[in-house]
Amino acid sequence: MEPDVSIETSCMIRVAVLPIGEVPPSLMRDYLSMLHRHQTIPLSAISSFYTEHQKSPFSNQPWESGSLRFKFVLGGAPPSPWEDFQSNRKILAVIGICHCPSSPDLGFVLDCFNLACKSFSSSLVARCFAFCPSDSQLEDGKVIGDNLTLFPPADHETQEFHLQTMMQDIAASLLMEFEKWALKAESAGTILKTPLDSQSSLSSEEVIKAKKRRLGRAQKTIGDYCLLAGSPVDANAHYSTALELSRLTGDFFWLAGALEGSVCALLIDRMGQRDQVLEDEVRYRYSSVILHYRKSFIQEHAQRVSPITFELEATLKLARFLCRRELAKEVVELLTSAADGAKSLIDASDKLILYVEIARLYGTLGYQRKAAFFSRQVAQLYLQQENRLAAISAMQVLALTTKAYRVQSRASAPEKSVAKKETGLSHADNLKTLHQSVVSLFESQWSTLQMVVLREILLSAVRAGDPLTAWSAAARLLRSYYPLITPAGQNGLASALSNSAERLPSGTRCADPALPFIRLHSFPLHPSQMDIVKRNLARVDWWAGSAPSGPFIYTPFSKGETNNNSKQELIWTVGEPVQVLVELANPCGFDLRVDSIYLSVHSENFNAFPVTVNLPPNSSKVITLSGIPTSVGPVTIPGCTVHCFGVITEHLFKDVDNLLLGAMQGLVLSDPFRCCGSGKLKNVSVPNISVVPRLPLLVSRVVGGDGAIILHEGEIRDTCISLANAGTVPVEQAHISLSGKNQDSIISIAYETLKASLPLKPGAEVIIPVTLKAWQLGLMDADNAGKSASGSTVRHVKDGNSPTLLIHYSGPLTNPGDPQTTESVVPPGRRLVVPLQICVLQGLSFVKARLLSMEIPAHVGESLPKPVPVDNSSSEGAVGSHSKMDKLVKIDPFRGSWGLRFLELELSNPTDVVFDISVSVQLENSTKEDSFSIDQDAAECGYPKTRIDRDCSARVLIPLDHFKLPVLDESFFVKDNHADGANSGRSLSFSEKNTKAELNASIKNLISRIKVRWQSGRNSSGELNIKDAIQAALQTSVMDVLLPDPLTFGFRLLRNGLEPENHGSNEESSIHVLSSAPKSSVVAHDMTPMEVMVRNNTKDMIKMSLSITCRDVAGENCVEGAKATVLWAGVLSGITIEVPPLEEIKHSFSLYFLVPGEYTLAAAAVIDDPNDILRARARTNSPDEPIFCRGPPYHIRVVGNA
Amino acid sequence: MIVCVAVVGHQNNPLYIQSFTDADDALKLHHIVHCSLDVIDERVNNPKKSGPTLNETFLGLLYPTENYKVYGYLTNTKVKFILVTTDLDVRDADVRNFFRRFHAAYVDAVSNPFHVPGKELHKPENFRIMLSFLHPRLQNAECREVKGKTIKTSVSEEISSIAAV
Repeated sequence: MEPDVSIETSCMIRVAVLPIGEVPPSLMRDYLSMLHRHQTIPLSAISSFYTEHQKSPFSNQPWESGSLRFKFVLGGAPPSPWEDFQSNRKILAVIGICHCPSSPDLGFVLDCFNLACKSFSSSLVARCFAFCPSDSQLEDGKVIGDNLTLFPPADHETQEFHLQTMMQDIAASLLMEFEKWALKAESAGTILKTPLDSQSSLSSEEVIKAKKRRLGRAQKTIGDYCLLAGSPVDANAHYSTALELSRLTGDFFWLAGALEGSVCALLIDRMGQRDQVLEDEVRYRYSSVILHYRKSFIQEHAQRVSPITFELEATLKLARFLCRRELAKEVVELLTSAADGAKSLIDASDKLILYVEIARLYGTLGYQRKAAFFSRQVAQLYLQQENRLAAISAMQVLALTTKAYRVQSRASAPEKSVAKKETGLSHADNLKTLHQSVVSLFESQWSTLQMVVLREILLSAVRAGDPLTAWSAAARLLRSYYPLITPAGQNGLASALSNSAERLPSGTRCADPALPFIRLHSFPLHPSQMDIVKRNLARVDWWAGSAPSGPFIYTPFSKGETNNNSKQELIWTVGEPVQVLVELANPCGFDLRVDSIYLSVHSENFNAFPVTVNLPPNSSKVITLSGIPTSVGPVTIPGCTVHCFGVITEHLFKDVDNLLLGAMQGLVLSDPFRCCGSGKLKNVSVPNISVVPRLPLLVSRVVGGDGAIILHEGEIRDTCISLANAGTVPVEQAHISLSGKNQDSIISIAYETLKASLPLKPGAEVIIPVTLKAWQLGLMDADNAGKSASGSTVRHVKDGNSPTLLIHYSGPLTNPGDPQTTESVVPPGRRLVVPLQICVLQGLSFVKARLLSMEIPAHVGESLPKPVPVDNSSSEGAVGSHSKMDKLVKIDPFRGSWGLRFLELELSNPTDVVFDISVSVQLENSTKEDSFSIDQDAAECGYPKTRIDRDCSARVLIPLDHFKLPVLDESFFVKDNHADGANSGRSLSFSEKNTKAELNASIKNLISRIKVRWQSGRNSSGELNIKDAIQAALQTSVMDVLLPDPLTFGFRLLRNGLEPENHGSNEESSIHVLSSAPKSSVVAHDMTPMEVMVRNNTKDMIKMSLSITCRDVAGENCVEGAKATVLWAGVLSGITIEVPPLEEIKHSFSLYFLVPGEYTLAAAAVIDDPNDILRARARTNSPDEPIFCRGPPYHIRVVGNA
Repeated sequence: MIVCVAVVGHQNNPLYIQSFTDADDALKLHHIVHCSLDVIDERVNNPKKSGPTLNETFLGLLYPTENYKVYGYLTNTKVKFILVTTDLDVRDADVRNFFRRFHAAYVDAVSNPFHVPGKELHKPENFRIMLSFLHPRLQNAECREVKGKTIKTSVSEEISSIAAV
């Protein structure tokens, strides 16, 4: 059998093309391709070379439209025993090709050529073409003769033209030879035999038979030559005669041959006009051809020779003729019967050719799987031949089947993936390829077939000595089908891989990855220290609105989570190392050593660092691959480059993603990561990565250690943060802002220090002081802290309560180092996140606050007590400057403590340190009486420290006597009114809300002046935040604390008629008070002149009836009644007086004590016609109720005069 | 005799291949089933225009090969059933009837709430039981199952032998 047969084969003139002498293969290929352009020589072009020696037997030759067809056979072919039967099997011409520069001796070339021609006895024309001769060779060539044609060196076109002429010459010579042959064949004597005819001496019967048949055979042969000569009409005429004759003689074999020839003649005649009728005709005639070939089968020759090959060839010819999609069924039937016929073929090479042809026809028909099946049969036949060349052929044929079985090497896959890398894919394309790959996953389930194919490729490649193909096949087998291969088989494949690699030069790349499986694990985002922020030049706060991570400024980073958003963009900086986490899996049963693995980046602006990994059997590992971006631009990371088993391969993440996707849908045998015990991972997509020019890089450090700053609640401390520029570009702008919880715990940041240090050169460092104040622990926190009070101290570090400093900084706008940055692209800025690790421990805890009042009566002295309020300067004067040292509460004995109130704070210390509490009250300086105040510093009134030991509690008293307002006026009345809510029914012109707010403000004002500071140890101090508690304690009685009584009463002894009106001069009076203390005693049995002073604290005239009472120790009224022990002069009761607003009046009287002892004087007044203010102050309910004012009691000590 | 039945998914992925021969020709039957997809593809892509065959699920004789005849059946969800038989004179009506019952068995199998569409059908034992009408031998098809595996093992054994070369 012959390969590549078709119906038209019968009209092709077979020409052997022989290289003569040394011809380099590439040149030979060139020359051959030049020849191939002249496969068809039109008869019209031949006519000039043609001379009609005698009358041509081809009377109907179509000189205008016909042509001769050549079939070039490189190296020729051995003569076929069937040459007589089909003349087109003969080698009718020989063309030698000689490359002159490599064979200088033309004579020798000619000898060689002639020698070579001898083996082609059937050849009618022989020519030797010598290309590129030198000048001397040209000279020689003229001598040597006709058979050698020299092609002088010229351009390609000229050579082509030259060759064309030569071919036309050959065609003409052949035509003339055919004429000769045809004329000769008609005469008797030519014996035409085929191997089917008996080879032994003919019996007489057979001789007669042969003689009968001879004529028909001769006609058929002449027909063949007519076809070769390009004259189908003549051929047809001869074939019809031959058909008649052979039918008569029962020469079925030749009959079939003639029929075949007639079909060919028909097709040539009808060249280019194919229609249904023609097709039916061809189909009909060929079926009879096949039938007749089958008929000619002679049992006795079956062992030696059989016409079956012709039957199969005819079948294939018809199949090729019909080979169209629409006729698939018919063709399939033909091919199936041809395939069935293969069993009766004796020669293995015939079988091979048959399968090749069947596979090709199926392929043309679009039956890829069938084609693959027969290709595999071909490969198996090749493999049976047990030699290297056959193994190479087998390997190549199998490579063709890989597409149908979906096991093709990535090297043979279309190059679209390369294009993809360059252009970047649109989303739609991506989907499409994804779909394709999923479809291929579906088909990849024919694992049984696929493994067999891959195994055969491996086997043939090993036999053919092609280590790269072997490696690739073993890699595909191992990677795709490891779950189906026993550990021993896996080991075998591993050693096949390394054996192949040994024969490969080091550094060989293979398109098909082997192990391990690599998937993208995550892209660690920039540590918060290195965040990159886009710069918005239009704004001063250039970082605003461009935080890359959405609303969460801090949290996502601190947790180290990866953001799986597909829209995510990563920015890398030139020269700063980056890391990518990938996960490797080795699901096989052997130790896998990955010699090197690094990120494969095609954009060439990235230096990847290789690492070596060892993977134990059935294990997976997450490794960090790092690299440094080298220049500005986008970076794409399609996968990793792996050097494993001696070969370099690229592992694409996309492939593994598809694989895992397939595993999820149950399409793939197994998920390599899962079977290695690795968890399920979300599909990580490669973000868009862009590289920006070099940026500054600030590194922060808390001076004094990076541990948590441990503070007690309310503690105030200064810390220093050092910022160093670790980048290569100076910092030109920087801004600090706060974020996170408890931002108010940062009292101050030395922003100016930072400003002053700009620009911060690379390597420079700046230290910024920050003042912190520890926040209050919440209820929960306090609870926790209480439990672990004595224990751990680092507990609160992680809970994210600490505030964070955000430092936005940026380099210069244009980067001198990078010339490629255009002005339009502003290098981004950066953000440094400095989490302040503050650990707040529970400090002093506040238990409760109470308001206490204290009443110590005043002594009646020679002077009146100071008018309210006792201002700061007087207290200053009273206690002297040294009194700052021990700030005890001083009570003026002549004033008493009437109305003095204490705020009692109960504090407990659950901690393990000692606290010193100091309370200070800031005094108000803005009252009228204070206009002469001397010393502003002294406006703070301090009290001695209270020490609270661990696990103890203590009470701290805060005196609240300095807050009385001088005047009881309307505004207070209104406030009072509303605070009490008693008289809320009254219509007032003030807005309620407003007044309420004012009241609250005044309370706050009061509270804010009370500060409770603490100190613990040498260097921790703070302030207790108990404002709320104080407010709660004060809320109900704030009026009493703040507001003065409407009337103030005071008593004084009058001695010697002296009336020291001296309360204008403070110093005098105070000295007097001190010095007069011993004199203030009153002697019994003596008239004691006294004076009562009444002061009106309101802005209205008050009319009242004043009365004075005197009581003894027992509390008995000793002025009135039967047992009165005190006599008096003047009026003591029912004194009706009017006091003008804000003024005082005095009323004098005298007492005569009969019994020495302690007496108490008190003044009281009933106010007549009280106004609303007074009523409100007195909290009366009904308007008719009398308003009664009582003054503080005054002590008087009466001594005996003995 | 029926030598092989197969279910092939709509993406031409094999869902179930069961052979009933004693000879070690599972691979050959795999190939036959695989190749028959060519014909089915072709029939699906070039449907005959005539009306009554529009909803026809039975594809008829796909192709005869060697000693076998291959019949096909295509469900509405593009799942293919393939039958390989050695009987050379089979009535179409019989095959049609066979496929109808096969289809019912398949529907029962995939109605299993634990069945993942598109996954291989070897797992659900009941499919095999449902198919038991096919062939008495299917009931003890366990040994066949083992045979399916032996192909794979023999492949890996040969691989080790290649590695030795």
